[in-house]
Order: sequence, then C-alpha cells, then structure tokens
Amino acid sequence: MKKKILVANRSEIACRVFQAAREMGLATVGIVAPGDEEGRHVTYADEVIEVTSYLDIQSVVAAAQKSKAHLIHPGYGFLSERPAFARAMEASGFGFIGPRPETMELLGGKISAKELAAREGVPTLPWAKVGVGEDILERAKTVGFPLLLKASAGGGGKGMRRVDSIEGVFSASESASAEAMTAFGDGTLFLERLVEKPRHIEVQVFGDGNGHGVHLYERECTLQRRHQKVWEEATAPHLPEDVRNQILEAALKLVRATRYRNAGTVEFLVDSENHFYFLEINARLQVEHPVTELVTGVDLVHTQIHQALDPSQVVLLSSPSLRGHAIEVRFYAEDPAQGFVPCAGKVARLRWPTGTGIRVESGIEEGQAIGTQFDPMLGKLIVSASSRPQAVERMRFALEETVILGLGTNQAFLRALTLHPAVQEGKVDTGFLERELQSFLLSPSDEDLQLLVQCRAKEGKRGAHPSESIGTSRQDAMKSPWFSGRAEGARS
Amino acid sequence: MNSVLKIAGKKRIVSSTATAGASEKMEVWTFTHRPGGWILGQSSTGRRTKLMLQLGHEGGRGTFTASVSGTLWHGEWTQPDESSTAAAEESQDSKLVAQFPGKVRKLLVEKGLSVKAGDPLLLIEAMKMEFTIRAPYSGKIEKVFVGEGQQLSPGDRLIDMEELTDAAQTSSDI
Repeated sequence: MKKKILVANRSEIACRVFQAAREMGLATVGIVAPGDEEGRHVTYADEVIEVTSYLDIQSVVAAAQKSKAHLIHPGYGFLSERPAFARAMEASGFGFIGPRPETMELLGGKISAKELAAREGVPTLPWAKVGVGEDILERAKTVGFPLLLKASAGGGGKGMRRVDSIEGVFSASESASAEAMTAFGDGTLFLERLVEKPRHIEVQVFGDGNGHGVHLYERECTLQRRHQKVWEEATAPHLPEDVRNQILEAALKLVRATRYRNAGTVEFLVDSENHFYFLEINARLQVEHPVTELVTGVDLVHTQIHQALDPSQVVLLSSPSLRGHAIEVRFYAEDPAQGFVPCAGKVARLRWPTGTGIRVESGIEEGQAIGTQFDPMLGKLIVSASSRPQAVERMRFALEETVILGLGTNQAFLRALTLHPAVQEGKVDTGFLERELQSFLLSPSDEDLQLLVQCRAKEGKRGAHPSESIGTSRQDAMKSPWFSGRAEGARS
Repeated sequence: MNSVLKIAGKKRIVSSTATAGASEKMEVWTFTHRPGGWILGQSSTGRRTKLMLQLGHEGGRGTFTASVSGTLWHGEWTQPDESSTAAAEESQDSKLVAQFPGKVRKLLVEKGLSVKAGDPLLLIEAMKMEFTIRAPYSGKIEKVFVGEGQQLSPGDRLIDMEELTDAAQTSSDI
C-alpha cells in the first residue's frame, strides 16, 4: 500500500509538499477550513478532509486519523511550531516531519533560546531582565546603548521604548514599568541592545536528530515590510568569508546542542560592522526555502520526507557545493500605497512567467476568489542565475512577464525594487523598505495613460459583441480590490 | 468623459477632452489580439508593447485592470461604455456621476444654466470632508438628479450637461 502524507496547511506550501510527495510515490491528503474551499491545494490533493480551522489541533488530528495518513507535514505558520500539535500527532502514532516537541519548546521560549545560545558561545544581543525595585541603571550599562526597553510579559509593542543613553534610562523605565504593570499586571522589564540598520541573515540547517547536522548555507532576508519578508536571496551578498563561516558554525553548534531533527533555520542580525547576533530558530521549513534549493541542488522537502520515512538514516552527509545565486519574491494581495493593507478580489487573469531560471510556487488559480480571512500571500516567484546581478535582472524580467488581474497586488512594487540601486548592489538594511517606500510607488506617466485609455476604449467596444470579448465574462465583475481586513496564520 | 485611473489606491483623473487637446504629442495606438490572451499595442511613434486587460462593472461604474510590463493598473471611469455607438459615447460625456458614497451638501446650479469648464456645480460631503464637483467642460445644465441633503452611492447620476463645443458656439454666433 502507498504511504500517505497529510499536509496540515494550505495554499502554495501545501502544493509544494504535494509535489514532493507525488514524486516520491506517496499518496497526498489535504485539509480545508471553512472559507478556503476555492484554495488551489484542495484541487491538488489525492484526498481532502474538512477541518474546523487550520489552527484547531483536535480537528487536524481527527483528519489525520480519518485519512489513515502515515506522515504529517506541518508546512509553515499555523500549527507548525506548536509543541502541543507535534506531541498530539506523535502520541497518535503519526510521523511528524519536523523537530521533536521538546526542541520546539526549548526554542520557542525567548529567554530559554537565548540562554542556550549563550551556553554554546553563540553571540546574542546583550539583554537583561529587571524586576520592580532592582537596579536598572547597572543592568542598562551592561546591556549597552542604544537599547530597547520593553515589558517582559506579553508581546507586541506595549511598553516598548528606545533609550539612547544612561541619562534616559530612569524616566523611560519608570513609565515603561508602569505601563507594563497596567497592561500585564507585571512591571518586570526586558532590556535588549538595539542594532541600528541591521541585516537579516539566516542559516538553513538540517539535523539527523542524533546530534549530527549540516548547514545549507545562508540566506539574506533583509528586505521586509511590517516585519514580514518580501525579498529573499541565497547566498548573502557582501558577507566577508570569515564572518560567514562563523555564522554557519554558530548555527551548527545549536543544531548539535539540541540534537535538532529535520529542517530548521537559525536567524541572525548582522550589524554594519559585521558583528552577528543570534535571534531565534524557526523549527520548520521556511517560506524562502526555494532559494536554498536552487543554489545547493538539494530538494529540502524530499529530504524532510526521506528522513521521516526512515529516521535511522542520515539523509544529508555534508554541505553541498554552491552554484550561482537565487532570489525569491513574495506576491501579496496588498496595497503598498495604503500601508500594505490586504486586498480582496477575484483572480480574473493569471499568467505566471516561464523561461530559463524561473520557478513559481503558486497558491492561486485563475478564477479563484481571494478573501482577507487568510494570509495575503498569493505565491512566490523564484529565479536563479550564475551571478547576483544576473539574478536581479532575471527577477525583473520574470515580474514583467507575470500577469495577475482582478485584485491589487504588490507586483509593481516588487518590480520597482529590482530597479533600485541599493537593491541592485545588495546594500540594504531591515528599515530600508519603510524608509524608501515613496520611491517605490508609481504614478502613471502621460504615455501610460494614453495607452491605457485607448486600449480600454477599444476593448470596451469589442465587449459589446460577446464573441469578440476578451478574458472572462462581464459577470465576473470584480469586488472592490481595495478592501482591508485581517489575515489568519502569521508567519515569517 | 472623465476616466479616473487608480493605481495602488492612488487616483488620477483623466479627461478625454484634455487628451485630445494634446493631439500633437499624442501617440495613437492600434491593438491586435494575440494567442495567450495578450493584446499587442503598436503606437504611431513606433512603440510596441504587450498587455492584458480585464473589464468589469462595479457599482454602476466601469472598471478595468490592465497589466503592462509588471505594473498593474486599476482604472475606473464614470460610465461604462457598453455600446459601441457614437451616440452612446457622446451621452456619457454629458453625465456626471458620484464617485464615492456621500451626501449632497449644496447645489450650486439649476437646469438651463450655462457654466464654464471648472465652475463648481455642487458640494459633496464624504468622510467628514467636503468635495467640490466641477464642470468638466463648458456647457448647459440639462438635468439635475439630486437635491440638497440627499445621500449618494457610487454610480448615482448627479447632473446631465450638454457640452458646448466649438462648433456649437460657432453655429450660434451666426
């Protein structure tokens, strides 16, 4: 009997795993939550089971039991990093594709992860926890300036303050502590050094679960908006060889120390002087894994599944050699001009690009209605080339060849990125997109307007004769594409 | 006729009369359909570009999205030109239509009044701001569809105008 794999996820990542599974001769099981019936992954799976929500552990476990799947792939986001989910699946006898639940727990805690890194000699940003009444000035001096002062309890921006010097500590801490007390009932503060204009560099790792692991080099994901990655590449440009080797080795130390199992990503911040600091470990497959696949030739999802099928086998013996450069961009249904609010609409026309060095991971189909209930990512466009400059040019070409009609997307914004000198040179920091946003927003030129007005007028006349009408019918009229709402399933 | 082109939420009003006014510089495009759903545009100045276009209707307005070289343009215009007849196109030019939900705050014209291009016709209150609707061209007010205090939905007709063209002015002079 064919082995079965259930993918506890939706959209493009579910389709990505289905591809690997089918190539390997496995049967595929998808899940679908209310509101997502039109999702592309629903068409793609051999079998589909309804769940109440992609976040409902019991419902997803029940789907796995009903389908009699052998393996569970969690994808990213949703339940992928919930120890309780991995534990429930393993307790029910399913093979969970990812690290052990204990590893997730250790890495999921901000402080426990930092303490682990410190024990292993991996640099972390200096930090300190200060209880009410404790000597904050002394701790602040040890952390160094500038620093970020925030509530120890809870997350988000509540009670978060930037402090530039020792003089500012006392007043900032008083108000932050009072705010933390009101918001969380706990005035304990967390101090952390602030890195100015950092780069985000991460290492793809793969562990055999017994203390052996390999890295698959680094990715740079510095271009972000609202703390979400937009453009990712492998490998990182302008990273001195010795720094890079130190970062790769630091990542491996953490893999060995945790006896890490399966694929993971160790994230670092790198400052302008190339000092690097451990941020966190993402205990799952990343959205941006394709760029690593393209420069290493390793199929990460195949490797994940191979290991889960036979845990005693070491699937990756050593780091592969590198070839060329790869870049990924994420298509979001959002409006960059309106603070990146999600857009809803119907995909009236869809044409992904083809050509040398172009890879597409699509989460949508033509005719599909896109709401704002789920994450606004529509798919990913990935290019590879022999050099970084050529990859940037190829990305521009691929973006120009892509057509998504019917809803607002960040496509033009992405294309504008490929034309920006700082992006072309690979010299950016994590605040770049938000600082430079205005330069990426286009207004139509008079030439553009003439073309559009004339084409619209001509096609409008054709539309009077249905036989000559192009595209989908007029009944497929769009819903307002400029609609904001909330999305389910955050991830990075 | 006014077309409102909106890109990533930014609006730009294009008047077809203004476009025609710049006729010396104007590029004239011809379009052919290509397999794959492409429209191939070729201009009088020798430019060649391919694009895709989707037409639709939304709240009484015509909409289109076009994809040209990786840029998505979202356009709306005051009246969908469903008919290919010249008469229908002319009649679109003579109408003014609400672009957004709001309320008529003040009516500044009445039937039969002659106005010049740019003259204020009515004030609309929306999103706690006041917007002035102005005459897109010189002409005569043919019909007023709304009253002060009236709620407006996008696509509601406001005023019909009869355009006074140069030809009409010339003939009246005689």
